[in-house]
This record gives sequence, C-alpha cells and structure tokens, in this order.
Amino acid sequence: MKPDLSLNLCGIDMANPIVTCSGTSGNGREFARFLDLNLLGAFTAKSITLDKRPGNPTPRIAECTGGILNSIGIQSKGVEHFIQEDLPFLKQYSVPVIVSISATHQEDYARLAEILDQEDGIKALEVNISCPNLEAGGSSFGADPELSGRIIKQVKDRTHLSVIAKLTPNVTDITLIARSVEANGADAVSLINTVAGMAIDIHSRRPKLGNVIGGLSGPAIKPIAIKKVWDTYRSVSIPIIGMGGINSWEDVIEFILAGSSAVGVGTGLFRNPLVVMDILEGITAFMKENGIERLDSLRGQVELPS
Amino acid sequence: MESNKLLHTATVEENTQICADHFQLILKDDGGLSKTTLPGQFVNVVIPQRLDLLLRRPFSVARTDPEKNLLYIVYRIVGKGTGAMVELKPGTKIDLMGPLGNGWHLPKAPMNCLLVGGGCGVAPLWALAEHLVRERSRVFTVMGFQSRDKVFGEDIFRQIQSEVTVTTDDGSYGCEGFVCDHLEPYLNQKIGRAYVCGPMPMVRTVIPQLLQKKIEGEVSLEEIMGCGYGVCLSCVTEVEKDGRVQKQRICTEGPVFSIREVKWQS
Repeated sequence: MKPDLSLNLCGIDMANPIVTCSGTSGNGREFARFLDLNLLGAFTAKSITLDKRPGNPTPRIAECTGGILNSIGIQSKGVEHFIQEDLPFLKQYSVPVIVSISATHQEDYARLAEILDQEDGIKALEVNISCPNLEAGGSSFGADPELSGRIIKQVKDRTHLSVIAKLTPNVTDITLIARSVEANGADAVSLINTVAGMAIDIHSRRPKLGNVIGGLSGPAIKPIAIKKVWDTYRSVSIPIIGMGGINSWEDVIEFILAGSSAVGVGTGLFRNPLVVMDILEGITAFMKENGIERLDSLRGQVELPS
Repeated sequence: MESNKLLHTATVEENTQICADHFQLILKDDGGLSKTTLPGQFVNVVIPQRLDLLLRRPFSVARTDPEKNLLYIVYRIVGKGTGAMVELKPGTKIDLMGPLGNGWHLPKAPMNCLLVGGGCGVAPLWALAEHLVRERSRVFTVMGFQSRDKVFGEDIFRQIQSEVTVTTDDGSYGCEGFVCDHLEPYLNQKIGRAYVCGPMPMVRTVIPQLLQKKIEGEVSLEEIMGCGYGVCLSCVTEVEKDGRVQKQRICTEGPVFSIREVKWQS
C-alpha cells in the first residue's frame, strides 16, 4: 500500500497537505535555498499590500516561553514589485502558489484581487483580514463578521481565483466570522493567525517589541488553534487550512483529526527549514503503520467521549 | 540542493571563559563552514538539548582555522540562549546554519586599515585583522570595553601584529574613555579603509569622525533575528541608496553595510 497524501483543496491540486504559512518563507527565493518548493503541497507568499509599506520599528521579534512574539507590520514592496520580481521566480516551480493580500482600507483588497487576477501562476488568494482597519480606529477587519464577509465578497467579485479567508483567533466566537465568509463566497478558511500578545523587559521596563504589541506564534498557541479548527469544522462546510505551532508530523495528524484539510507550517521553519521533509516522512510512516490509505479519511475524526 | 551547504553539524572542542562576560567556543566541522566562511559572515546556531529555545541564535564567526577545520565563536552572556551555551561541553554536537550574510569587503591592495570594536564587537574583527595582515595591510585596532575585567582580545590582536589601543569606560585598564575619544591619532595615518563593529552608541560616535575625514568604511550591525536567512523580515535596518531610504535585512543584505549608506543617526 502506498499512502496517498494528495488532496484537492477548493480547486487546488496539492501533492500533500503541507502549506507554508504566509510571512514565514518570504517569497520563495531564500527558502528555496533549503527546500525544493515542489515538495510542498502549496506555497503561500508573504502578505502584499497595494503600495509599499515600511513595516514596524525593530525589535520586531521576541522569543517567549513556548512561542515567538512578532510585529513585522506587513513590510511590503507593493503588488507591482511582487508581480515583477517575485512571481516570475515562483512560476519556475510547479507547486501551487497562494498569494496573501493585506490592506488597511477595505477597497484595497478588491483592487489587489483585480490586479492579481490578471497574472498567471497564482492558484489562490489568501485574504489576510486580521490587519488593523484604519478607517475604524485600528480594530481588526477580521473581528467583525459583517465586515469580514463584505471584504470576501468584494474580492470574490473581482477574481476567478480561489479565495481563502485567513481568520484571526482574537475574537470571542470564530465561527461567526467563518460562517460569514462562507456565506459571502470564501472557498476555504485558514486559521489561526497569531494570538495578540505583549512582553516587557523587566530591567529596561520597555516592551520587547518596537511596536509594543504583537502576535504570538509557535507551539504555545497550538491548543488554541486546534480548538478554533474544531469549532470551525463543525460550523462550515468549506475546507480548513489549520495552522498554529506545527513542528512535527504528530501535530499535523492532530490538526487533521480536528477538522483540517490542509495544514500550515510557519514559525517551525525558522529553526528548521527542512522540517517539512521530516513531517512528510513521519506522516507516511504513520499511515503505513495504521493501514490508512488516504490522509483525508482522518479529517475531523476526533473521537469524543460518549 | 544548497541546504547541504548551509546546514552543518559541528563538535564542541573548547568552550572557555575569556573575560568576565565573554566565552570563546571552538567548534570542529567537516570543513563545510571552517573552510568556506569569510571574515564578517555569521552562523545561526541551534542550542542542542534545549527545545524550549525555539529560535536559532546568530553569532559572527570570529575566525576560522581551515587547516584544522576549526571555527571560533566569541559570545557574551546576555540571555537564556547564551546562558545555555556556557554549559556546552567538549564533544557535544551542535547544529549550525551558515555561512550567512555578506562579510567585510576586503581591499584589493595593501593599505592602512583602522579596526574599531566595542565589547563583543571586537570578535568579528579577528579574522579580518588576520586576513589584512596576511595581505600586507597595516592594521590599527582600537578596542573598547566597560572595565578591566571585561577586556579580551588584546593579546590576540597584538600577536596578529596589529597596533592596538585598548580603552575602558572607567579607565581601569588602557586608555580611559570611549573608543571615539582615542581615534584621533589614527585618523591622520592615511587610513584607506575603516571597519567598525560594536554597540550602536559607539557606532554613532565613530562613524561621524570617519565621514569627516572622508575615510571609506564599513560597519557590521546586529538585530534580533527570527530566521537568519532572509524570510521573516525581523532584522531590518534603514539604508540610503541612490537617494532613497529603504529597509534592508541585516541577515541577508548585511550584516556589513557601508558607513555612507547605513542610517546610523537615530
């Protein structure tokens, strides 16, 4: 028996369920020095904005117990630069490319979708709605179900590409947001984005990040992500890309049991850019050992106490 | 795949204290790093047996001994990562990524070179000084430390045959004051190239003096890094090129920058 890890995720044919998380593998060039991008299920590029954005002051990253707090601030060279300089590089690979789009003004999302829709070599747009909405005092678009839905609808109207909504965990009930983006045409959801956090250096009494607050990623957030995936899985019928603290094949199986169709590896790539290889080997061995022919047969199969 | 060239295992040969707050780690590898790393490049280190330390820790390679396959790292104890490194015993295997970043630009012909280092920033100048002297440049080194107990490297740089001035902030050893107070005699020595590495307050006092004398120079910068290989955009610094200010990655476009391009003021 040869275990089958492949899947079709909202129209994207993937050789396996492993996706890179946006912002953790750049736009491919640097990461490809370590790993053949074609070994991935899909590659997600770093969030791009319509225009150039400088990002936040340094320090932009701080290691915490079990996780990493970051506030890069969507440093971006703008969509035109991405199309001219980065997309041609990614097009050399057969791996499906997901492009993450980000904005601080609602209408920019639709404009980005319109521009990227003209380009070859992109399979899907991941809409990063976790950014602060500057028109509404800086609260996240993704915290408001109606606004989240409206953005997804505007993006869907401007592109034929699959649209994935990236959800923030910093909400009371993630299923309200998930249902709203599904109702407005999202083809999939990816979750979770980073968990809002802060850390202080007790000696200098200064925040450890230049931006004062940031987002936590890494193993510490995995249980939060598992629960959000499980909640979402029971609320919507579109597929889920689960992410948050994945470092091993065991983590991947756990996310699939919670209801993920595919999974994202992010922060784990910093320490070990080859972790994807270890994960794929581990999953294959696990499937053989347990007589599992297709990985998607495990999706959502967590067994609850009766 | 290039990953074979960037991911290495090395064995701890020695890990010894060289002053009050610095250690010297000597590693042996199969030549993957010790034969390829250029002066000023860095490695990103996984602290073994410490899964709680999620990120690699970047260290400048102080020097290499390619014939013996040795790699020298000089580190200051600043936090959990470097605190754990003190415990590394000879024989322990560690995982390194590198060589990373761009090293110092080396002069094509012999010239007078001024090396300015502060604290831990003296370490990345070591291999550079060796190279410059070997290529017949004349090397002047000004190295600054907080106090007598924190001085390291003076004997090494003298052995390399650099002229050395040591300063301490409190005057407990060498010349009293900061390195910037003791550069003047060297600035008039027809310096062809200056190389600077140290804490930002030091860098901010040294660069204007070099610029004023129209001396070409480079500075090696540091910042907290996430990945060390250019994907996370944590370690950026502002650089002015072709009249435009842009953010560049210390790990990838640096860590060495021209003193004319780097925005050192703020």
